This record gives sequence, C-alpha cells and structure tokens, in this order.
Amino acid sequence: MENIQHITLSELTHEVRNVMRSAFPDTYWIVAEVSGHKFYANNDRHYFELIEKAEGTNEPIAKVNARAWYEGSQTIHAFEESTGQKFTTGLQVLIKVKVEFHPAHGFALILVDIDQTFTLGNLEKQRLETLHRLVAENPDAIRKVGEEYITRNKELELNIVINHIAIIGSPNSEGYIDFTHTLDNNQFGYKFNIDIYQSSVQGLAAEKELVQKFIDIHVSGKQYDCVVLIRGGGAKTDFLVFETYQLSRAAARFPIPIITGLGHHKDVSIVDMMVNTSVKTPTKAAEFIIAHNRDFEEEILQMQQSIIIRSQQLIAEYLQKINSKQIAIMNQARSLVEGHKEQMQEFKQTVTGTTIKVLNHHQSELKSSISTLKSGAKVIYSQEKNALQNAIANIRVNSGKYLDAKKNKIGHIQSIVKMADPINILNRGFALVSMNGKVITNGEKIKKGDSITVTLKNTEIETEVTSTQKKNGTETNV
Amino acid sequence: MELKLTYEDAFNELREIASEIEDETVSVDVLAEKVKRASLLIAYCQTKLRSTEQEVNKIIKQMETKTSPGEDQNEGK
Repeated sequence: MENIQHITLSELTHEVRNVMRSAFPDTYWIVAEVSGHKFYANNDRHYFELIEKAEGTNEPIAKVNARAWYEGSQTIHAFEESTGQKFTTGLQVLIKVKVEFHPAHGFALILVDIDQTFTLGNLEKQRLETLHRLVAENPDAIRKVGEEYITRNKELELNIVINHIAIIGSPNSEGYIDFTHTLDNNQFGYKFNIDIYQSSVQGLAAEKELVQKFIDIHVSGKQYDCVVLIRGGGAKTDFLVFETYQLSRAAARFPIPIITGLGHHKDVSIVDMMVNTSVKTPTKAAEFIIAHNRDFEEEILQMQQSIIIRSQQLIAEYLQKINSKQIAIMNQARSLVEGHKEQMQEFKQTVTGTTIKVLNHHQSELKSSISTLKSGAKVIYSQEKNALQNAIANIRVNSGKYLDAKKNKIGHIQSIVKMADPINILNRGFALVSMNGKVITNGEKIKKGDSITVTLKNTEIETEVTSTQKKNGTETNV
Repeated sequence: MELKLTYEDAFNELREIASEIEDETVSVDVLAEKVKRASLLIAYCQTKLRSTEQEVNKIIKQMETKTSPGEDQNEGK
C-alpha cells in the first residue's frame, strides 16, 4: 500500500478550493428557500440551508449549506429592519452569494446581499396563494367579499360579556405579561377567568403546536367566551407562522371567537384576517376585552337610568291623571250638588207656591164657608129671633088675655067667694053653729043636751040644745 | 334569583323591562316590582363582572340560603 501514490485530504481539499475559486470567481444572485435557520447572536453569525423544491411538492431538488458572516449578517439585519420580516426558515429569498469551499468545513454558500423587493414580493405571492387556497378549499367557512374575508369565526357574535378566556401563547413572553397585567389592573375592577394554553409562537414549527392548542381548547368542552392569541411585544417580527395555511384554516373554522394581538405594527397576518377580532398588540387585546365589558355595563347603567327616569315620569303622569280625575270628580260632584240645589230650590219654590195657593184656596173656601155660615146663621138667627119675638109677642098678647080671663074668672070666683064669706052670710042674717070649735054643717050630729055656739053678725050665743027636729033643708032655698 | 343567570339572560330581561317601561305597557301596579327586578339584575351583573366565578357561586349560595333559612339551619347542624 505504501507504494501507491497519494496525497493528503487537506492537499485535496485545498486543490478543490483552488479549482472552485477559479471556476466560480464571482458572486451569484440565486432564488432559494431558507431552511434550518440558526442565528448566533454572540458572534453575529447565521447558519442555514438553502433549498429548492420541485414545483408543487415538498421534495427538495437542491440543498446547500449556507452562512452569513459579519457582512451578510449586517445585510440581514438591515433587511429585517426595513421589511419587518425576519430572515428565517420558510422564507423565499433572492440573495447574492459567493461560492466557497473551505478545506476544513466543506462546501457552502456565503450570503453577501438580499434583494428586499423580491423577498417581499414573494411573500406577498405566497400569501395570496395561501388566501386563495383557504377560500377554495373551505367554501363552507371562508369566503371573500370585496377585499375582506368573511369566516365562520368572524361571523360569531362575541358574548355580551367576556369572562372566560383561553389564552394561546407563551406565559413568559412580554405579550402575555402585558395582556394579563392590563386585564388584572383594569380601572373598573372587572375580574376574568383565564386558562393558558402554552405554545411557542415563533418559527414555522409553531404551526402544528398552535393548531393543536386550538384542538385542545375545543375538546376541553369549557365554555370560553373567547380565545386570545397573543405573541411577544418586541420589535422583532416573525409572523410567517401566522401566514400558514393550517393555522389560518383552524382559526377561520374555530367555533369560539378569536381575538388576536400578535404584536406587529406594519402588516396584518392571514390569521388576523381570519379571526373574529384582530388588534395590534396583546395590551390592545386586553383593552378591547375590558372595553367590551364596559360597553355592556354602560348599557345596563343606561337602562337603569332610563328605567329610573321613565318610572318617575310614569308615576308623575299617573299622579297627574289621578289628580285631574280628582278635580274632574270634584267639579262633577260640585255641579251635581249645584244642580240638585237648584232643583231643590225650584221644588221648594213650587212647593211653597203650591202650598200657599192651596192654603189660599182653602182659606178662601173657608172664608166663603164662614161667610156662608155667618149669613146662614144670621138668617136663622133673625128667623129665630123673629119667631121668638113673635112668640114673645104672642105670649104677651095671649098671656094678657089669659090673665084677663083668669082675672075675670078669679073676680068671679072672688065674688062667689065673697058671697060665700061667713061674714057676708052672717050679714045677711044667717048664723053659724059650731060645737067644740068646729063648724057644724050637718044638724044630725047635734043631740039634745049638747052645748052649741051660735055665731051671729055681732054676737055669739052659747046655748043648750033643748030639742032637734029633722027637716029637708028646702026652706032655705032662695 | 335564578341560579346561573347568564349576562345574556339578564341583559335581555333588563331590555324587556326597560322597553316595557319606555312603552308604558307596564302598569303602575307592577312598576315597583319591575324596577326592583331591574335593579336586582343590574346589581347581579355588576357583581358578576367584578367577581371570579368562585365568588359568584359563593354569592349565589348566600342568596339561596338567605331565601330559604330553614334549609340553612338544617345544613348548618
């Protein structure tokens, strides 16, 4: 073996380097995709691969190691600054490279310059392709209206109050801290229930992880009011992952409203375009949620105010109504009373009038009765009086006559009586015989021996009877 | 007050009460009742906005025990 001609490895690699240098003396503009990118900040070096895939596939048809040393690193930095796009895996770039073969490290392309326009244009192209694919492959969940993309997630109504929040992000990131700090210290004292679904949000590898988090949230079965997708807060931007098809699709189809605050100021990512609400930063996302709840509270306070005012108005109106009813009733009552009063007055007048009339009537009747009575009485009286006077006159006349008659009779009787008087008889010569004080008219009672008294005109003779003889008595007739 | 009243429910009921009062379809007889209910709903929402779920559950429990003191005593011993 020692007889065989040979050279050392380094002699060969040096020879290859010389050949390469003479064969590729210039720099070259190439189009390639960045892959496996790593950046070492301490020595400011980028290590990555450049790949070219066959059209429409993921199969690399060329793959070369690449580096950026100090000069290239400055270029990359400038590129990131001016485009807002991080130089990283997945990025299609137009770069100027130098072919290098290092005896110790082998073949590599050294980045010298980047064409910004191409990269951005290419990004835009990729973006349009992704958007187109989203619409084409998800007609049930995504459609384009004008320049806007209407998605299922966007069409969801946010709950009236946001309280249960699922956060997808990194709990140690500035964005998460900003978000929770803003929420916790809100001036209205609102409280929130937050679950964190931890995920990296940088680099293309995060796509799968983020999609998985959406799945986790969905299968948790928890009734979240929204999902908040936040990221970083730094100036560095790398939202290629938020331009990916799978993540954008998941966001567009997700059944809970998504709020994004991805911390980029220049552009809007595809995911931003797919979600319910997109704001620039995590802090703004928190502010949005607080404002949303505040809107609710203000609305109920507004209602409270209007309920109070309206109630008071209603009560006032009601009182007014009662009042006017009261007045109406009072007036009505008053006029009724007045009416009755008048009627009473009329009645009174009628009654008095009629009574007086009736009384007058009765009075006049009475008067006429009285006068009738009076005149009647007078007539009767005068008649009676006349009758009486007649009677009296008659009596007078008749009594005179009667008395005269009686006088005459009495005179006659007197004369008779005079004639019969014993004196007169004695005068005429007759005597009166009495015995024992009694006048004897019958001689038969006188017996012989009786003492009798014989009375004459001026003399009384006491005698004794010596004899009696009976006689007829006719010798005394005249 | 109903258990687990949602903001949506509370809001809808409030809006209903507000519009009833606005449209004067509510009679004065039940006005006080409605206003009381509205203030209860508002207070409930405001409390809920400012409390964590646990606190809200605690408040609801307190409300329940307040409205049924008999059960409370039984549970307490």
